[in-house]
Amino acid sequence: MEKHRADARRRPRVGWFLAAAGALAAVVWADLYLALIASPPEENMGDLVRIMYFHVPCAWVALFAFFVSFIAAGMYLWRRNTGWDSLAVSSAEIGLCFTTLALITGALWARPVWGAWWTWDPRLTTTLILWFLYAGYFLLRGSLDGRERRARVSAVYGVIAFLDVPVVHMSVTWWRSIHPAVVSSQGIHMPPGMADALWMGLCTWMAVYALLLTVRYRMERQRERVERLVARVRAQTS
Amino acid sequence: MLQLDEVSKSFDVWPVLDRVSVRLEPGQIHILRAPNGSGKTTLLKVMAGLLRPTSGRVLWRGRPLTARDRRHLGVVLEQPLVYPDLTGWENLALFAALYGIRPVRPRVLRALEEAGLAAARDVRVRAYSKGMRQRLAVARALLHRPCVLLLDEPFDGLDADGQAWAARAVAAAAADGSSVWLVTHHADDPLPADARWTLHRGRLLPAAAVTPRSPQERRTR
Amino acid sequence: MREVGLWWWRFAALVRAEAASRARARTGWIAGVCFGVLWVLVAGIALDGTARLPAAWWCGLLWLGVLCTLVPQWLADSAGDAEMGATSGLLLAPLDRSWIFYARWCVRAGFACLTAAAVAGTSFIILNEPPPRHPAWFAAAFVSGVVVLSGLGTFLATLATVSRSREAVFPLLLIPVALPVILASVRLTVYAAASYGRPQVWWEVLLAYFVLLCVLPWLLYEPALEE
Repeated sequence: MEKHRADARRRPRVGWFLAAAGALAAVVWADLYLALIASPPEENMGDLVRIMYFHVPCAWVALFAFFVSFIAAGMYLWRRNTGWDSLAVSSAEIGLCFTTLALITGALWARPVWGAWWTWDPRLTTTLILWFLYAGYFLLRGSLDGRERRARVSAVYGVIAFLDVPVVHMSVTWWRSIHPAVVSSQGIHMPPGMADALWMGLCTWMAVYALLLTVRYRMERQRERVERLVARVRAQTS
Repeated sequence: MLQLDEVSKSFDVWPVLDRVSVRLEPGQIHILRAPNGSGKTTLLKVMAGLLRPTSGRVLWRGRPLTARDRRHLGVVLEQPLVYPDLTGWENLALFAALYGIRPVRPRVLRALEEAGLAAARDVRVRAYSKGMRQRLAVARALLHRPCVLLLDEPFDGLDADGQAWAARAVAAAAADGSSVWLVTHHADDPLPADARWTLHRGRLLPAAAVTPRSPQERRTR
Repeated sequence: MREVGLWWWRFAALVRAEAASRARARTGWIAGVCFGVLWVLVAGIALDGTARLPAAWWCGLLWLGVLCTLVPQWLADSAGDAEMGATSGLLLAPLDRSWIFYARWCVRAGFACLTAAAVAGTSFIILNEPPPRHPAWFAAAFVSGVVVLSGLGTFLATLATVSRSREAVFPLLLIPVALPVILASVRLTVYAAASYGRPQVWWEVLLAYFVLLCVLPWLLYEPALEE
């Protein structure tokens, strides 16, 4: 009976997931409406500014995802519980996808506004280096044998990579800067209609991140459970 | 002295050691004999603090083994655990310093002489034969007169003289109060054992009932 | 006091052993120097044998050459560490395992300074660069950059050692992490060569890395080394 209840608890909650995905779809549609239709065009850039409602939240969510991965890596090294490693890798993977999106949308925006796909702007450069840092993280993971070793070594690198990000950003900023500062210590530099679209974008993409992270994390845990079951069956039959 | 308390170790999801508990007392010789791939070396590495157990504890005198406590352990593994580009002398002098032995020179000279490596003391280990490397590995493990000797196939690659020397040296250490954990695949016991063990599906089990040596027998060795 | 002396004595023994071992494993550092000098030569040809480069370009090329010298050396060193279980032998010793990192950092920094200096000397000659305006600053910037780079290289090479594709993964781990160090080293040597730029912030970047390298391995080197 107990065992049956435990199995029931482990069963994926499909209903819960569908409800969350449905609610998220509604939020995404609302965000698209706000970003593409309701918000006003910018004085100089015109409709090009709309890319920013995707570009900026993608970059912020990516940084947040890497922060979560950093915390999870640190927790893994402390507690040595593979759940933390699953969280670290899941979050880093989503972070890398968002970084790629931020780079692509940034280049799409830079071409008409700055006249070049790529400039040596600090945020752009930092984002690309961030992408390489986490590409290295995944290549390292992919080339390590053994669950524990993979988790341990990549957690050490995950901690170093994240701690490196602020230094990379500062050093590239001291090198050169031409990026428009959307948010500074004085607040947001844009009219209210545009600021609303930006905040909405941030909330939407954060929600997308949360849903993706949940799904990815569960996937990772399920994979481990299957591997453990296979090992147990093999041990019993050997 | 050294004690394993319910130690389990898994690689990936494969269990290698399953709730192993054992206690090494001064002067005892334990021999572990088990099939290939049964986890003998893993168990020894866990005892030596080279591998972290998945669960359970490795204790030294009742508390978790610390970096400082490693000075009480002497370990022989499959590899000689030395720098290949240093000479036999330089390697032993390094480990003597790391284990806080002072003065270094007489102890290292004696160790090299006893191991039959005095003539090759200034030759790089890379140029040593397999047997010479094994002699150096055993000399390195015994150098700091450890309280616990953890030996993985210490007689492998040694000639008859080398085997006799290594067996004598380990037995002398046990007679002086060191406890010995010896992993071997040889059918005959290289040393008189106080306990024989085997590993089956990760569990450490007594191999057969053996009559423990009498205190008199220990003294006479 | 006696206890502290004993610890220093142990650390010195470890450094001595590492240094002797590195010095005798010649292939790694000789190949590194040759590769760095070759890189400078190829860079000169790629720039169409130009007579004179702007200081900023020359310094950039110099540091790329230095990286080309050091990366193969660190790869060779980390492969050598695993041979005959030397690192496992050190892991068994009764000392904090981060000491192994600090000793290796000291030794590799020393070797890196010597080999990188060979590359710098060659690039002065091949790329027709006049002597720096502030030679002492140039030397200080060069040595500081190489020392910090060596720390990062030593640590990340340890992580990469257990990878199946160590040779491919190691540069990818190192270069993004070391980018601020490379940037700082280039800007500092540009300042020393041509009195151009603000050196203060770049010293701070190097100092920040130096402090991180002194503290982080104490926490992270042991998990990096575990079997």
